[in-house]
Amino acid sequence: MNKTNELALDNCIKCSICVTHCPVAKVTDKFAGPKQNGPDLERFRLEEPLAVHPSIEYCSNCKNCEVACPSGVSISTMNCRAKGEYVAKNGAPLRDRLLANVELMGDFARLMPGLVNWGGKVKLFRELAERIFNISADMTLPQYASKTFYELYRENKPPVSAKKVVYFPGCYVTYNTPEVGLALVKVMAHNGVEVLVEEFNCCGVPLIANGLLADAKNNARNNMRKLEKYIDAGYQIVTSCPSCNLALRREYGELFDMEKAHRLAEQVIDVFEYLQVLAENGELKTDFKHLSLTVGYHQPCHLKAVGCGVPSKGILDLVPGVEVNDLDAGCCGLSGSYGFKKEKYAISQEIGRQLFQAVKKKGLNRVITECGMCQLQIHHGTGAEVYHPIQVLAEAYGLGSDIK
Amino acid sequence: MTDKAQVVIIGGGATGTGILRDLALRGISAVLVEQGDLAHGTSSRFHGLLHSGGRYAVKDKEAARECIEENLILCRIAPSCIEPIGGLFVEMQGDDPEYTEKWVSACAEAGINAEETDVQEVLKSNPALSSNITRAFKVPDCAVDGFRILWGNVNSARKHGAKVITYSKVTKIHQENGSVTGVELLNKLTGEKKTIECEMVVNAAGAWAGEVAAMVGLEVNVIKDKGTLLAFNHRMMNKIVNRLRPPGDGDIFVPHGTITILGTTSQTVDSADANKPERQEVLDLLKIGKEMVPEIENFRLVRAFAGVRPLYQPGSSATGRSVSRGFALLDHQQMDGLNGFVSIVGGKFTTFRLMAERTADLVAEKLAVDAPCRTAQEPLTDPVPEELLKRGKKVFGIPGAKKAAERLGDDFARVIEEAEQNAEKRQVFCECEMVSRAEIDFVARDEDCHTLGDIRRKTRMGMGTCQGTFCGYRTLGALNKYEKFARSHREYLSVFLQKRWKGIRPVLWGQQLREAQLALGIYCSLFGMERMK
Ligand SMILES: Cc1cc2nc3c(=O)[nH]c(=O)nc-3n(C[C@H](O)[C@H](O)[C@H](O)COP(=O)(O)OP(=O)(O)OC[C@H]3O[C@@H](n4cnc5c(N)ncnc54)[C@H](O)[C@@H]3O)c2cc1C
Ligand code: SF4
Ligand code: SF4
Repeated sequence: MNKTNELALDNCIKCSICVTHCPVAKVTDKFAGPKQNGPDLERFRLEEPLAVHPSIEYCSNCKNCEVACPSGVSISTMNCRAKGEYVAKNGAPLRDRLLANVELMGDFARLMPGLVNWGGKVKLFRELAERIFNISADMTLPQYASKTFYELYRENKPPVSAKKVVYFPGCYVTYNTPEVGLALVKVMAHNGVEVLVEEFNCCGVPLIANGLLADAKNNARNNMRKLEKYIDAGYQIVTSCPSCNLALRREYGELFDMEKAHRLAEQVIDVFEYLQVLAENGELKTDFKHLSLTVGYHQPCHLKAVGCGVPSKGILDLVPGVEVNDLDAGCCGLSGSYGFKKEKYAISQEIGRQLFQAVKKKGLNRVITECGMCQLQIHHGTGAEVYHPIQVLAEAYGLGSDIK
Repeated sequence: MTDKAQVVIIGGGATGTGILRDLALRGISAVLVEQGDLAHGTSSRFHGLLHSGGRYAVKDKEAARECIEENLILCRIAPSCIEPIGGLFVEMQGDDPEYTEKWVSACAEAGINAEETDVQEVLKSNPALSSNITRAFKVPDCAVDGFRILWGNVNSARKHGAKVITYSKVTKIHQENGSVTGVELLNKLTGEKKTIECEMVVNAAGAWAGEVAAMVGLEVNVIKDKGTLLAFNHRMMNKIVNRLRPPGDGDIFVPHGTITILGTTSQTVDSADANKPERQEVLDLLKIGKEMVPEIENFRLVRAFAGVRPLYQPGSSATGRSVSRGFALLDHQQMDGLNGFVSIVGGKFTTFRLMAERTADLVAEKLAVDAPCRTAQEPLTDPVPEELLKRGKKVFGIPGAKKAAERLGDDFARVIEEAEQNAEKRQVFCECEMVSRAEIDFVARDEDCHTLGDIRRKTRMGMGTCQGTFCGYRTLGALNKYEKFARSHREYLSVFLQKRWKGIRPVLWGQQLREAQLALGIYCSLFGMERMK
């Protein structure tokens, strides 16, 4: 079948359901919306590749359109390609290149995390950054950890076991919340599974979202090279970040047409999906402590897009004393680098408002969610402490001390 | 009411509008009369192929030569109406290799540049095509937009003083002492009658030419040959693809704007209005098309449509001055002793300018006007200035601006101005074909615009994937404020939708069936049109 039909261009019946599900189109009229940028203009792009609506930069790459489409149109893949075309022709601002280059930023921050974290809180610096780079002075910046996840892993190697998986931690765990990765390694070890790691590159999602497709493809190739031996040996590849999961499972195949992408997709699994399988086979350890903890749960858009349900809630429901309240309030609005951009900050906060209100209305001061960026945004919008569900599970096994 | 002109042209197709322009450029006063909107006839119901002549090279060298000459002229004078995408002739397994050889030398003799190209390359850039292709040749085929050519002719002619009257049917041709003296028109919208006094009448009524000649008691034998075409939802290939074998049914794919057109069939019919595509014709075309595009069933069909070819056959009683095997110019003074009556019949869209030139030469000679033809040199449309395109991109986006510029030509500037001043006008009403509210408003104000169908032909609104489901009611909403659209809204909508459905019904399966169900929900349930009186 040819490539256009693969994206199911012909399936679109113009019902506009995707538009009604687009969180960006809901709050601003600056964005022409998923239908127009996706299947509508795709017909024009077959004649003129540059037929891209300039408002394409307002797409946050949340993928809600694609999830909602009743016709199976690969709307956001079309949008990503279109944005790529647009950026390839018109270039991307330095600001976008910086924000999208999560790895570079992480490596830079590593040199002096204390100073970077401090600088991120000084109003004067932030105002300068806003004026020079158009990076919003109002958005809370992520905090960098003093040691990366890889460093911590080497210091805390799990015991050798016959059962092994590979862990793809992603940039946010690597540079900002290594404790999440560590909790994962411990939880798996507790269940008799040894977690192997490699120094992977950024999965590419921030680059894709900013239209830097060539760079993203480069990352994808590097990661594929590192993953290949594990794929061939039949290892499962575990993720804790939904966006990394989506990239490995879907984007490498759909956007980059990579060999073996298909097999990679079959072997990538979210850590809670993995634990769910253990539970189904009666192999999950259930020696949980009583926690007496009430948390709100926010489902990240990219987890929705992966289509694996909400496996973390299923597992945490097994822990005595833990009450998980589904917030069910849609996109958090941050969408990676999107909400840091000066011209998009207000949009991002407006999208997140429903979610913030849900947290406040339920009187919750602790929230769990799988995505690091959602964690940051919920904390920014509500002041609540936000964790990855694996941290709660580690706590329940008596393996962690992150939950305050 | 009586009007006066030197010449009345009957028929607002490519031929008639071409003649109008030609006469106007020679300074001859002319009025064109068309019973419907411009392009009501075959000139909007064709394949959209500006022939290189390759198709006729073996069978009819003269027609082939005419095609390539006219092709080159039109590319020069009307670039904004033409997509110079090039064409391919492909030989497939089982096709006669000897025919290919014959074809190659015939092309060379006719002056058509046919260059053999690597089959693997062709397949790589056109994955929809069958791997059973054995040889492929590039030719200078182009896609041509019939509507735009027609408006181009008319706009240019008007600038030189010509007049166009649409929605008026010529019902009588007056004659006195062996000379035509005028025509009588019936306005189909108002029922009013009107007379135009003239020295000459040109019958450019295409498939209706026989009926028009009968008004003066003459016989012009036009065989009405219906051809059905299929429109697919997107561009399936990046070049026009012809099957390299003796011309037959269903062997050309033309990527045209956002769609691809496959055709055609051929069937003699009784009436020039017999343009209803049938389901069986669709199935037949798909079957043949599948040989070239094996996955053809996976591509979405948006509609089928049909046109009637006017094929001229010299009758037993009259032998016309056959200027070419492709078309015939009939001088009825010479043939039948009727002064001031001329018929131009047969031909192709591709050769309309040449047909017009020959006709206008004859008319000028009879009127003793000594002015040469200028249509081969004078640009038909002026290119849209870069600066204007830039402004357009800001309000309509890249494709929206480009398409609107091509459609609107000189009027583009005014539409942009409106959109710049009023943000509401930037709304895209037809999202499938990127037509803005500003453009729809502008076209609606045009004096030749009376129905949703007229707006559709002038803008492409309603011609994309949804076939009018969404843009139909949106446009009607915008027309609300115009007095001339004050008739029943239900009627406007039903006429518009029924015309769309005529083409949808024979392809009602797959995704188009889902689309149709949605349309049904919107119009019958939501708007309650079934119950509306
Ligand atoms: C299916 C099909 C595919 C084709 N594909 C191609 C192609 O790819 N390339 C190509 O070059 N050619 C193609 N052709 C041929 C081409 O379309 C026609 O030759 C050409 O459009 C004829 O133009 P015309 O102006 O002579 O006739 P028309 O466009 O039919 O114009 C005649 C007009 O006269 C009007 N009229 C009739 N009677 C009256 C009256 N009494 N009063 C007022 N008005 C009247 C009619 O309404 C009509 O609009 C195709 C034809 C068909 C049928
Ligand atoms: S990916 Fe998200 S922001 Fe982009 S069009 Fe789809 S729903 Fe809207
Ligand atoms: S892409 Fe899907 S949801 Fe959007 S208009 Fe088309 S069919 Fe509807």
